[in-house]
Parts: sequence; structure tokens; C-alpha cells
Amino acid sequence: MTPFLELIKISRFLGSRQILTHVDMALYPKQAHILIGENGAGKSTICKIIGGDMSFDAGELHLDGKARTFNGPREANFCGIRSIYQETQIFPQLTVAENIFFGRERTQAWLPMLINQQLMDDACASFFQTLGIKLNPKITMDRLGLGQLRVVEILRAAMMEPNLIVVDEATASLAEPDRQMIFGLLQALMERGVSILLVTHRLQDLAHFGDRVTVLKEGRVSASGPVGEIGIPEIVRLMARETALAHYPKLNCKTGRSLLQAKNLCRTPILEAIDFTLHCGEVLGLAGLLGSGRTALARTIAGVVRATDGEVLINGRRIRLREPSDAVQAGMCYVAEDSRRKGLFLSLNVPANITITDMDRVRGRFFLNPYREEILARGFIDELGIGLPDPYAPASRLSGGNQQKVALAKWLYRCAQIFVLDEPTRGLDVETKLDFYNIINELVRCGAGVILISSDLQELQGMSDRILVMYSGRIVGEMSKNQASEERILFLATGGTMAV
Amino acid sequence: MFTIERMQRIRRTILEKRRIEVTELSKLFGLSESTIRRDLDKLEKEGFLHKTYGGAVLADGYQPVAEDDQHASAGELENDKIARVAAEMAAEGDAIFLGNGPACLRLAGHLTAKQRLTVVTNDLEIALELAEAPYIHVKITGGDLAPGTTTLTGPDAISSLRGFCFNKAFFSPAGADLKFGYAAASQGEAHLLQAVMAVAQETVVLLNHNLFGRLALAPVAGLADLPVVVSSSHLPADFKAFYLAHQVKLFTAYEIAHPSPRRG
Repeated sequence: MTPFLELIKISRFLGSRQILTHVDMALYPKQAHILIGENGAGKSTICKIIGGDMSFDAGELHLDGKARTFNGPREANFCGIRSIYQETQIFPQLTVAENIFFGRERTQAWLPMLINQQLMDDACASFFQTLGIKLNPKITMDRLGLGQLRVVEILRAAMMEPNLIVVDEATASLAEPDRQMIFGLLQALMERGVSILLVTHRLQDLAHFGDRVTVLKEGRVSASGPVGEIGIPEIVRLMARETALAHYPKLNCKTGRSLLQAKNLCRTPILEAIDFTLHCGEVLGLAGLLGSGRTALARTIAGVVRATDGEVLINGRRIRLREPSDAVQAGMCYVAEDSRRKGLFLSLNVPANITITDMDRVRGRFFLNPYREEILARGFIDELGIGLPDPYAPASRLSGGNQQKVALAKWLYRCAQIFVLDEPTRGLDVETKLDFYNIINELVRCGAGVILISSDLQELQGMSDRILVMYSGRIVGEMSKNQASEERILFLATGGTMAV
Repeated sequence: MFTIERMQRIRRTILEKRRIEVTELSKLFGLSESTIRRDLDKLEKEGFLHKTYGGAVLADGYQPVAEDDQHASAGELENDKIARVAAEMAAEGDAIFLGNGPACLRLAGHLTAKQRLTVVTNDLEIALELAEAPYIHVKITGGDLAPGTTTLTGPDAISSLRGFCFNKAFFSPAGADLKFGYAAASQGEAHLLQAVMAVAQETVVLLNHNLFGRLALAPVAGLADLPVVVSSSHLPADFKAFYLAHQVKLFTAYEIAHPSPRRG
């Protein structure tokens, strides 16, 4: 059987960083291919290349045995490739049928300016019936749940009789019944001759679905083949990144008075009755699975979103958090998980990015003084070892690790006292991780307090003085560095109780 | 930010611009003008600059000949950073050994505020540094004073270690090489350090980044043999990779201008 679509030694750079290295992958007709890997492994990049959204720097893309390149998504669509992205792309105020036919509406035969609603509804209804979907094409989208929205998106793609549907993380954040519904639909489409590329970071999806699998790790294919041949345990092993740092350089600083205190903090329905204290000189680890509310908690403390109840005390004084600047004024900073997107001005150079948190210090008579910006930033650039391609390079040209360092440096410049770091080392190499750990050491040595949010349990245990575990919006456990073990954290984080 | 670093930065700024205003400096460092004026006073006494109304200019005929001097003070700054991190490792109630060398001397300076610490050292300068500290018990090894130094070595120094054991031993070698490991300046010193390591629970190496890749006379131990290293963020990448590969716990000291909120 010849593959419908084949990637041969595809490489792709983003700035100076290579995000895909010699990726080989073959998609066969009527088969479901699962692309699995951790966050940041390069899965979405592959989807975008296949969908024509992104070009590649080296390698070849073969379609039905012939090399070709896509100039934008339209060309990929024309070749029978449809993509469904992580974020739902629908119009909530339009009906199901209107969404499905968006852009190629059926019109009245006698007056092509008028949309023929009836024709579209009927076409949808009969199409749904052939696939065994129970959905009224006349209701508006805002009345549907997330699972049904996904179904509509897939149906919209399927209506166009494609050869391949690329589904990027469509099952993430869905409940189990919805997930089953989606898998059922994809199965039905496969029987009609469509091949599916499903991107996921959930191993459970593999158990239900999928003929072949490609395991992606740090932009490289670590295995590709039929699911049964590789076996799930091997896939788990392959997915895991070699993050193992033998010894975490944890400096046990003396902890002092309480720096940040949350009392009965609520944000319905995501957070419920959060109570904790962060001390001077302390690293407080925050563990929890995706969706446990750890990022929501960080964003609430940082004033990005408002709490519905409860209070936050900094240095013993109650502060009102209405917007992020309130938190910044109080000496707090939040380095978001995706600092590349959320923490930097990518088109500005590094000194401008660093000094942006306190512009009074770089203000000249009328304009910002670039000379002063540079002098102030240089200390951080040298000290943190931020590698610049050239002194005035925009932040977009830095590597991920260096961008992350800039995102932290701007708060060091601001002299923040409380650092909320959301997955600060995710996707970084071991050398850069080590730098981050030592920077954290220096912060707590100077008396700052750090809240470290991480999915890497070894990192949490290695660097924290205390660990809080969250589950469905609550803090369900607290343990000191010595009490913590991977099993115990996982037990609590998956909804177990304190009885261990 | 510490005075010594601030002075260094003021120096750099004036060397570049040749003149500077007090208001500008105070804005630059976020400090009051009177603090900046005091710094400028000091620099004027050194003959580095002339003060002017509201600012200062680079002194006429000032040549940055003291290239070495500047290096020396940069090295001192780094030793100080390293020592500050190392000082956090000495827990109260511990018995520790401090070897000779500038980084250890700095470390002694940062230990003075600790309670109930027993420090054994073979360096007279370190002993003097700790003499004023009220809660630190200082012991000095015996031995021969190496000419031109304050360091005690020799068979008597080694035999005076008998009957001791240490929670931690800190030492700063004269050089580190990927192939030959850590080395001391003299054989006497190397022998003493080996004797110390034998009775220490954990040995911590304090090493300035510019000592990496430098050879010294007497080998002490292999790079992978000692479990904890404290250096600065500027340590060479090949050594960093070596330490990571050999599971050495690597601390790198940072200097980040961070005001220290008072610990309660």
C-alpha cells in the first residue's frame, strides 16, 4: 500500500532553534495515525506543515508519491487535506448548518444572493444520518457543549470529502463520553475512506483508537509504526524526556516571616477555598495535573483574573487585586508558562524587554533613553548568560531558553519579591535548567519567595522546600521536602485522599 | 546591589562616557543622590575622576593601566558571590574545615553571623577574620608557615587533623583541569587537603570561573570525585557539561541586583 502522504526528513527552524529534525512519517489511506509526544515536542508544527500553514526548511513532502509543497492552507485543502486545530473555530451565533456550510453556502437557484437555509439544513440532516450522528442542524452553536462543537468541526471538514483529516488535540479537555463520541465519528469516517492524523499527548487515546503511531520527542521521531508492534510501555518510555538531573542544586536557605498569604481564596467554579502561606527565602512547589487549577491559582494571585472571594496578604497587608498592575506594585511577578507568547515583546530588543517593567529608570527628557536601557540590561545579560545573536536582535530571534531568561530578567530588574514561576524549565535543555535552579537559589538567598509550578515531579521535589498538591481547584495536600515522594504527590493529584 | 559592584559599574560608565551626572547615576541605580555622591567622593580620592558641579568627569590623563587591578577586583567580586552561596551550606551546629585561598577567606567573612559553628582552618588570615565572631569556635591546624603566605602545611598540619571529622570541608584549588582534576599550588597543601577530605562528610569546591582550565603543580582529586562544586555563572561550558555528565551537584552563583527584604 502506498502512503497517501509522506514526510521525508523534514526539518524546520524557528529563529535559531531547530524545532523539527529529520522527521519521517507516512500516512496511509483509511488508517488512523496517532502523533504523540509531550508538550513542546513539535506535534503542532508537523500539523501546520501538513495543513499548509507552515513551510519547512529541509526535506520533502510527498503526496500520492509525488513531491510537493503547499503554498498556504488553500492548496492543502484543494489536495484533500483538512485540519482541525486546538482552539475551536466556529461562530457561536450561527446555526450548526450555517457553520458547516460557512464560506460555501447553498443559495436559491432563482436568486444567487439569497442563502437557501432549507437546502443546507436538509443536506446536513442527511449527512448526519449516514454517520449516525444525532444533532439538530438548526440550533445555534452557543447551545452546544465543547464535545459537540468538536463534532461539528469534524463534520464540517468531512462534508468536503477530504482524503485526510488532521485533528490537533481535539480530545484534550473533553470528558470521557464526549471523547468516545469523537472517536466513534472518526471511526465512521475512516470506514468511508478518510485517513486521520490525530495529535495527542494522552496515552489513553492510544488504547481506544489508532492503527499506527509516531512518537515525537524534542522534534525528532523516536519511533514510528503499528501500535501493536511498538507496545504501549515502550511508547511511554520513548515519550519521556531525559530530564534526569542527578542532583538538584538546592540551597537550603533559612526561611523567614510570611511574605504572601492567601486566605480562603475562591474563584468559582475553578478555585475553591485556597489557603496557603509563602515565606521569605522559601521555594513553594505547586503540583497538580493539567486542569487542577494550578495555573488558575497563579493567575488569580497575579491579578490577571479576579478572585470571587477571599483575600491575599503581602507582607501582612491586605492588597486589592483588581488588575495585574496591583500585583506588580505589591512586588509580585508572574512568569507565565508560555513566556515566549505571553511574557515578551518579540519585536523589541532584549534591553527594551528587560527594562519595560520599570520605565521610570530609563526615561529621558522626552523619550526612552536606549543608552540607559542598554547599560541597565547589560548586567543581566552578562550575569544570566543570555546569548544574543547580535546586541540589537529582537527577542524573537533568541532561543527558547534565552527568551525564558529574558522573561525572568525583567522581573529581577523590577526587583520583585514574590516570583510565581509557571513551568519555568519546560522544554529547556539540562544546562539551561541548571541555570534556572541556581537563579532560584539566588532569589531565595536574597529573601525573595518563589512559587514553583511544575509537572516535573523530580524537579518539584528537588527544588522545593514545601510542596502543595492541587486537585480540582483545591489544595488537597501539603508536604515538606523530606515527606514528599513521587507516589504520594501523584496519589493526591489524581484525587486520592490524605490517608497515605 | 553592593557598593563594590556599584563602584565598578560607575567606573565602567565614566570610562565610556567620560562624564556623568549625579542625577543620571541615581536614576540609573535607583539610589539617592547622596549615596552616589559618596561613591564619587571615593572614586575622586582614587584619582579616577574629578568631581564637577552636579557630576563628575574622568580624571585627565587617567589611563586604564590597572587592567590587572580591574581583573583582580572582578575576581574578588566573583569570589564573594561564590562565598555567599557556600555560606548557606554551613548549617548551624556544624563543624567545618576551611582551606586557604581567597574564596575561602570570603566565605569566612560571610560566616561571622552564624551561631554555634566550629571552624578548623589552616589559614591564619581566615582565623583572624573569624576572631571577632562571637559564636564561632575557631581551631587552627599546626604546621609550617609556607614562606610569603599565611597558609600552614606539612606533616604537623596533617597530624593535627587526627581526631577530627567535619560535616563539610570547603576548599578552593589553584586550578582545575578536565584531565588532571583539581590541583593545589604546593604538594604540602595537596597532601593536607587529601587528609581533610578523608575525614569530611562532604567536600565542597569553591572555584572562580577563570581557574577552570588552569594547571597547578600538585593534583588533589579528580573532577568527578568531589560531589559539590560552587562556581559562578561564567564557568566554561565544557566543565559544566562534564559536571552534569558525572552527577556532580553544581551551584552557580549569580549577582542579581535584588534588594534584600529583611528576614523576620
